[in-house]
Amino acid sequence: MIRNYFKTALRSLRSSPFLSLIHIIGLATGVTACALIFQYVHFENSFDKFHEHADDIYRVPIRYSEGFGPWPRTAANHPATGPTLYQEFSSIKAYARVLHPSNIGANVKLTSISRSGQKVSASEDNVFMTDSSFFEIFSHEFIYGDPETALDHPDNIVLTAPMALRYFGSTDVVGKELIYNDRNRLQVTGVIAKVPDNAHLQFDAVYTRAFMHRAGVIDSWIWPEFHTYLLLEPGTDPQTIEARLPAIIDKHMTNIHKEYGFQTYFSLQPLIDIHLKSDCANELSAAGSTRTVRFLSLLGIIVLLLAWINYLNLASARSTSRAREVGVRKVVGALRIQLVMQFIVEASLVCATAICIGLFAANALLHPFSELVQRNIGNALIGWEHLSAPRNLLIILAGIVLSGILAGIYPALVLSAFRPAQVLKGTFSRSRQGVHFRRGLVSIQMALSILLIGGTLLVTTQLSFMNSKDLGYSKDQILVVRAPLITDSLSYVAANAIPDRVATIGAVSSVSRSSEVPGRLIAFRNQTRTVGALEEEGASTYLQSIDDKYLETFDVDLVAGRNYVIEDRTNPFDSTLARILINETLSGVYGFDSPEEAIGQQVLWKLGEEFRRGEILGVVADYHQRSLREAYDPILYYFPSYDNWRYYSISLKPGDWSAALAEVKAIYANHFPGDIFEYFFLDEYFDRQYRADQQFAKVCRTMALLAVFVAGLGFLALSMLVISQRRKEIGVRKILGAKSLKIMMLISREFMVLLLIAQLLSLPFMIHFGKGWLDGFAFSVGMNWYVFAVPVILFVVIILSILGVQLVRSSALDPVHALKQES
Amino acid sequence: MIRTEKLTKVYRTDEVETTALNNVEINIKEGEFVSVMGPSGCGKSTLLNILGMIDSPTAGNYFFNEEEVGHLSERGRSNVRKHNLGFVFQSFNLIDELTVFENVELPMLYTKVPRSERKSRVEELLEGMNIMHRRNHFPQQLSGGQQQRVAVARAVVNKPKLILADEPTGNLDSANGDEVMKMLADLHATGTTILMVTHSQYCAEFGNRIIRMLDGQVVTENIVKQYL
Repeated sequence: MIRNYFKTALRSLRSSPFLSLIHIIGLATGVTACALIFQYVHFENSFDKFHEHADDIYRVPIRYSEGFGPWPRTAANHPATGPTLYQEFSSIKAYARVLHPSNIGANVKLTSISRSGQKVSASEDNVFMTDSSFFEIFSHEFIYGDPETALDHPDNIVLTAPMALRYFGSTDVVGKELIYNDRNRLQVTGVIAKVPDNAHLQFDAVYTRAFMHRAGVIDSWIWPEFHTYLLLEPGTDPQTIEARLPAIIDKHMTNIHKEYGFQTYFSLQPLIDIHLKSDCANELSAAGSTRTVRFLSLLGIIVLLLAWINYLNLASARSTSRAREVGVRKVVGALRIQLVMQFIVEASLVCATAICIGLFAANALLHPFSELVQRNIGNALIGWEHLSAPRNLLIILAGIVLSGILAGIYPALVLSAFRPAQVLKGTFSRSRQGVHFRRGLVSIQMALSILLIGGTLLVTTQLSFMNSKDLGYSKDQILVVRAPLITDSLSYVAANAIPDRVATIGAVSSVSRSSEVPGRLIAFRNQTRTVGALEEEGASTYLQSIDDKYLETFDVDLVAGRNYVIEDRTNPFDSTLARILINETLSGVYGFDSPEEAIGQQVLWKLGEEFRRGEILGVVADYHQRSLREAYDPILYYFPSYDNWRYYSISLKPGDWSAALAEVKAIYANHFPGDIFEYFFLDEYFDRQYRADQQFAKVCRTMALLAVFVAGLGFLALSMLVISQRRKEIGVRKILGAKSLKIMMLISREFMVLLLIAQLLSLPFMIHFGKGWLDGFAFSVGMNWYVFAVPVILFVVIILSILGVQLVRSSALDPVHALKQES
Repeated sequence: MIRTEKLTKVYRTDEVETTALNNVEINIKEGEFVSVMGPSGCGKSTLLNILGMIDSPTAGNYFFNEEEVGHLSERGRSNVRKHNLGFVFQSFNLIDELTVFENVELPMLYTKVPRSERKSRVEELLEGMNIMHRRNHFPQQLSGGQQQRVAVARAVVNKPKLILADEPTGNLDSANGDEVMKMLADLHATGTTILMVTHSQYCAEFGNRIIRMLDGQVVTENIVKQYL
């Protein structure tokens, strides 16, 4: 019997190859999209699970009392937290603090000397200072060295294999030395494999320094820049530790809380939750987002749903052509259940083919998809090696049967309900219920597609708005050079000479030095308040050092007061009155009614431990320090007489910048021979912040395209069936003199009504999700009318084109022939 | 074998009520070949469908082998049908996706006849009907006469006690029609009961009794001359 089912199914598929192809291509497209997305979701969910003790590792983030700072939580903690908790709790097996040098405003420059005396030197942005127990907590594959002892001493460094190759040309380098910031020597004590892509701590090297245990560091309860990880004894309930944390915080931080006027709270955050579920600022690597993962899963399911609806729709619409077969089978003794089985087998066959094609396509598209989502998502879930395991083959088989049941059950029930007496005599008519059901399905399909297209439009317009909005400063033609590391008075002089030399280049219009450039969060933040204000009226303020050329270089407006002149420089660490600039937002936070009112007012601000006074010289127009997702940051600018400037920003005159770049490079090399010259263009640097949004837009576009493709396929097939079923009517109307256009209007009217229903169905979802997404941006384009209109117009065009082609073909037929065929 | 009591069938749509059968009472004994005649719409096909258990009466009773089957469930009707009845239709109703062999074999799949027996029975029938050489062809590749021969083969393959034929020659030319009628006559000669609906007096006279219907009622019953 089963053989007969298969035989009939195969031959039935062959008998209408075009419709069968649409069935299979539609479902295969859905399977491909789903397989890729589930691989992505699997990858995102696999973060940090490869560590042997993953379930027992926790991070200790800080939450601040309400009103302090813009963040709910920060990922890093105080230097004293790890050691203190380790001493307090016997259930904590080990702790490791991880410090990114940039969090303490430092650069790391490493230099190796090869046997031939050749020097390799580079500024490293992806290295962490840590404690000796790092590899006791985190499991990494050691190629050389012993994980238990590798970081036992200060000035030990463990490199990843790619970094070892970069510095030494070999991975067998245990015992070799790297020079750290031109002063200290780090001994290579281990080489590990490249850190897996699904680790939230991505690094090229970790090293130890005595600094981490120095008095003033190890017992410091300020300076929340140390990411602190704890390894608990297996089976320890983290809540037992969390319950005692407030008492420990009180013991050590009461004075600090009093002085700064805020409260802090610690918690234990499971390692495996960090990538997707963390709401912390100051993460060491770009975190994933549960929302994005959920959204992508939803997109995959929508595409699969569209394909499934296609199948249901077409299979039930085609049911009339199978009616006679059902009648005959019933007459010769088939039970309804046997017919249901037959059509489920048929659907399973289509699903099996679609699943196989879909999995092949997904594997072939893994690489481009990885590029699309900008993550190396691997193939752990859908790779052949994984799929061919007996257990997974069984899962696929179960998937085929289940999808066969899901896809086949409705058509099977419809078909098996035919009454043989009617279908065999040809008096069978399509049930009204079935027609309503199909119309409902088409409406849902259109509504889902409209949502996807509208959503894509919204994302695209917001991105283009962000790219084109005036940021309040000029980011074009600005070359930013990372300033050299100042290690002594000689290098200080050399570093300060560079901007003066660069300014003499003809293509350069101005040069400025600063601790930050627009395009990222300013690293330093502290309490400031106007003199006379209460402590609790203090504002969490970003602090940035700039020189007298900063506003000119970035073309930032001054709304009140005046800009710096060279004489305004002050030593930021002595008690003289500093001259400061503030931005409009900070002026508002201080409560000044107008920027002018702020001029000459004095402010208490902190750089390090002590409050000092500053007099407001001018108010700078607000500009977007960060992406348009964020509101304007309150910023206080100071002009230090001595600073380890991190950036030289060079405004270039319009024209070819390559010659100017070469000259700047030559000047840099002249002052710091052998140092790596690192530079970037500010526009690219700023736009980096939109990478995730651009990637999101690309994924949306791809999925919307797939949705339109699948929906279009379904509509094509459905329109073919509708026209073939109404051929007699078309023939009669033609004989009576109807024009083709009139017929097209008649046939398309039904679809237009469905489109209208679809638009109404999608509208609330579009508004809800669209507004929700835009709420994530402090500056947004809003919901424009075309987000709602364009998808519908697109569908009208698709419907009319497909119907037009179908009707031209159908009208070309001789109406008499059509009538004869029908009778 | 067949007995009906006040068999009535009413079709209802939203606005119209049509009585297709009105208190029909007939008796057919085992081994009879009964032809049903009448103008279009007189209810003969409805009668055939109810007697063939592919439709159910609105009122009245239908006894098959003294068992009331008119009001059985679909499953129950199907069970009686597949073991006792064979059908031949005007438009052959072969399944296009199955070959000649598979079409004939089909009823035996539902009665769970073992594969080897199915094969021998189908081959025997196809040989007897002289279409063995077409066993692997699909219905569309056969002439009308050949298709109807396959349909007859399918109808008899489960050795039914009763064959119901609905205008079996309606779509055939006279030569092929004759051939099919001879086949039915041969089957009758071997003891199979046949109930046939037809418009053709010529075909009707292959049977031994003719029932004439009009407006859902039996108006006359005649014994065919040669059986008088």
